[in-house]
Amino acid sequence: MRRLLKNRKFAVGMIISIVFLVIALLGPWFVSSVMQVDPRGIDYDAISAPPSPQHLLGTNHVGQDVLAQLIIGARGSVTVGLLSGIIATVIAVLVGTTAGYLGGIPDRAINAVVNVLMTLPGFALLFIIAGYVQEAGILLIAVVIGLLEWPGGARSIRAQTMSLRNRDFTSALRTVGESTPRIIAVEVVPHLGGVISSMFLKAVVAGIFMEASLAFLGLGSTSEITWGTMVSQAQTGGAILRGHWWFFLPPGLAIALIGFATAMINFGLDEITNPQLNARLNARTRQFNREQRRRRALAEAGGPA
Amino acid sequence: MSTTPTPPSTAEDVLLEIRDLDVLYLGTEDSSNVKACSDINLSVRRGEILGIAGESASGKSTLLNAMTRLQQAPAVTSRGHVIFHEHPGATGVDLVDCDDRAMQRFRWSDISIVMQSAMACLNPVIRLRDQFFDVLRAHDRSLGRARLQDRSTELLQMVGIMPDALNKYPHELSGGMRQRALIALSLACDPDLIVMDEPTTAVDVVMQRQILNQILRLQQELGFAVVFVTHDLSLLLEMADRIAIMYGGRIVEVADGSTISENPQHPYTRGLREAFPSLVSERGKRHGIPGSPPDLRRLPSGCAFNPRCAEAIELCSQVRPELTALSDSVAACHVRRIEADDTDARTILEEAR
Amino acid sequence: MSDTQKVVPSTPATISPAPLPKRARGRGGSFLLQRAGFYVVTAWVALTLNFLIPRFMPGDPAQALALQITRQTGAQLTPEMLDSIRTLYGDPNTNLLEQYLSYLGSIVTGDFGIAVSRYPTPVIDLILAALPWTLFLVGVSTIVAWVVGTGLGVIVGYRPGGKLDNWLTPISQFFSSMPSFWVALVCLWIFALTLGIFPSSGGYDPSVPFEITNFWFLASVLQYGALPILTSIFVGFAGWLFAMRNMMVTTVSEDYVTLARAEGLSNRRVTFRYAARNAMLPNITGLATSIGAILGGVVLTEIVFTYPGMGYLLFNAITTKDYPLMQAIFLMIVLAVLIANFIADSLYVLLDPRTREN
Repeated sequence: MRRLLKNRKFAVGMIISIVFLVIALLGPWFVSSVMQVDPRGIDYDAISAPPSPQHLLGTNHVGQDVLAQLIIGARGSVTVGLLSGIIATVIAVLVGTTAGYLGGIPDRAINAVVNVLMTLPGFALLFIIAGYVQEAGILLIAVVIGLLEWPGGARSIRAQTMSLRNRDFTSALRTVGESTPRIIAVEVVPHLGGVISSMFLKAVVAGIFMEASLAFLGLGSTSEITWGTMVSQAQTGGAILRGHWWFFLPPGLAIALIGFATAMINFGLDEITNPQLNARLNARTRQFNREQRRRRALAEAGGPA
Repeated sequence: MSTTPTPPSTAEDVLLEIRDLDVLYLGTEDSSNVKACSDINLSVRRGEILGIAGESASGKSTLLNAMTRLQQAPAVTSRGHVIFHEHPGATGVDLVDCDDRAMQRFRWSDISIVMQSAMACLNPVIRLRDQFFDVLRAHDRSLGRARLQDRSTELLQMVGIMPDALNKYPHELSGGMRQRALIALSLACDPDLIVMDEPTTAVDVVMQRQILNQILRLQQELGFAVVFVTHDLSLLLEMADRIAIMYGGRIVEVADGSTISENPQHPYTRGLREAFPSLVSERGKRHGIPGSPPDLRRLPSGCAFNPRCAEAIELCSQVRPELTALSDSVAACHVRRIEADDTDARTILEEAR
Repeated sequence: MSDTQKVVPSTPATISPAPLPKRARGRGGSFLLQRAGFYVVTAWVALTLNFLIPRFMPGDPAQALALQITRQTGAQLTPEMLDSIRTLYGDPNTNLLEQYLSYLGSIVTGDFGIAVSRYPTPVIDLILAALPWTLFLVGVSTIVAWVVGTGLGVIVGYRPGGKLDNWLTPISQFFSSMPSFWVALVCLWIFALTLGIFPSSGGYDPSVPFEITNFWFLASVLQYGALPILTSIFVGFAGWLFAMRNMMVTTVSEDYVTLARAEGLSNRRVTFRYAARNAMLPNITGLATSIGAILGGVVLTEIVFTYPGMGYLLFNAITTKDYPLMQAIFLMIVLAVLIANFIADSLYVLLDPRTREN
């Protein structure tokens, strides 16, 4: 763990992610007890007001506090992201390990299905389903997103499982007569940690993205606040036309920050598991060689010691 | 680039001298650096075949990359010299001081390499012809297409490949053909030195024999020197003029091929000698060396080989033996030194202090 | 989704690139034939989903649709129109298989029904009018983003840990984490509304005659397309940069690159012909995998700029609950994605001789 945190990219990504998680968890309490603001409450004296001491991030076109909405929205967006990420990851692990471990015909069949689903544009499937299910809540949206997101992860998990399958410890267990599900659960899955965590993080962000996109298309939840619905409201409320940046910039930046944070975590994990990718080692090598050259040139100029 | 004032070479015919060379693998901080080669002193004479043998992780490939200046992050040469004499008797150039641009002058026209896996060494997406042309053109821009074609054909014929292979992509050739094509490529600019890193491990035994014979024949004809790196000592015994044995990042013995073959000194060399059956002699008894190669991050104190050595004495885990000249070998072993010499364990221990 | 970089393989080591099987070796032709077969199957799956989804929704969508048309337009539906709606959205009186066959029949003949929101324009007409605009946006922005991203990836990946890498790589990651529609809004706000450099909406200058041969018309298309295209490039290039960077870093230590260096080839030749030429192959496969995501991003961008493409059409279809139009757009997006995949496959065959093995 200490080695992980020494990687600057990983550390930065972790800190941002944890901050967002805390906001998602404690945000509503913070808004109601500390800020004492109703995120849906309307301040008739401040409609589309720019940031001020009363409203740190200003208000939107109906007079709601943007900061309060942003904090409440974190819960909505993060919930969709996490829930869809968990669903997608669980399916991907089940499907990927089964296919990779069994091999043969079941593997080929599963792989064919995965390939078809991967090629179908998930976004198009999402809007067509959401289009029929009008007025879906965020939980339903999260479930649908999760059901669409798993094939990519299943592919990489399958590939990893296939390589694990042939290692000594799994073949040993097979000969002892251990049952297949047990071998997968106890021996294979723990070795897939890297792949699974990276896929999970990507799925979480993709979930947040998809929910925001749906909201923007007008297919989002009408009752809950998410970052997506905020941007969508800003657009329909004419915030852009009037240049009310405080209303539409923060939610988009929040989404970008979460995407950035998870990308950095994955980047850091890659560097740690694959030293070749480690930028720091490369930079250190170049620096060492530069200094070495200078030292040697000096030593030579001073004559052989 | 600079020329290092070299003390007069011991011999006129020295081509490449490695002096006091250390190679580090850098970690993310200084405390995690690993020294993969230490105090390497070795010279290559013109036209000789020098073998370097050792188990995996003995530092032999690291050494090879350092002497050809092909090492990549995180490997760095932290100390020492690699002095190259372009012409007999000429003042040497220290390759360690050369940057990429300065090295360009020596690459391929003086020093070329043949690596282990031919499949991995050939660019998979361009035809063999283009890979030959690229090399030839890089060293002589004036060559026209016809000359390039002729020379490539000639090179392939030297290793017994039909010229139509030039039209092929690497994956369309057999393993043996690829390996020979690689050797042909290494001859392209008439180098003085060809460094070969396990050039025959990726092919079957019959092909291995063929390729070795070819290398020996070409070497006789063209007179280049060869540094041949392998884990297979028996291979070297057949072809090398001199052999250096590496263990734990150090050279532990250097001697003529015949000495290593008949009268190896270092216990590790003896172990290696028995671990591989000779290609010519009938299958004799084989003993592996007990234990496994040391972890370079945690080398045993004293002689790195002492935990695996049947002859080790107390001194071996206390003081690291230096290379010392014995009757016809140079080896780093206390036991041999004490046997051959007038000194004893106590003197060595005191010297070390 | 507009999250291109999440689809592009981030590390060659952990994510196998795309559904392009490495062992699918045959001659280039038979390899492509095999791929084409796969895409036909995928298209069929999409068609079937399109058939099933409305039939699994609660209520009777066909009935609702007929009512909606009458309510919105006041027009009486002719029996033929009712028939066509039944074919596409379900008829409780015929069995599912019969419905399925006649559904496939009408789709194959290009009959997607009638657009409710623009009654009585056939859906296919609306689609055909919108499609070229979207293809233009997607085509130009994808190519530029790919070239720019891959090119920068070569430069950054050549010196991992250098100044450029330490700054450009994380910053571009941040850029690519922005939702496309949000970037579009910001661009609209800055460049069109505040600075007034580009027009804020539409696909061409309405005061210029709509003729494909007219120079001024084409110039206005470029001018109006600039912001949507820039938005898509901005969101898209970083994914390619990151993937290419990582591939470069690993490829640079491949033996054939080391050998090329040992051979004394010029730095440029080693970097491009030996390292980059091989490192870019996964980025071609990535093109195939992420085209769906790119299209999703462009669709949302179009909405922001009221661009007359498929995205804007989709937005209208959703707000007016025009199901026939929505379904047709769905099928078109799938089709476009499959064709783009096939193009990427062909490109791959051209660039990697190993797929052409005899």
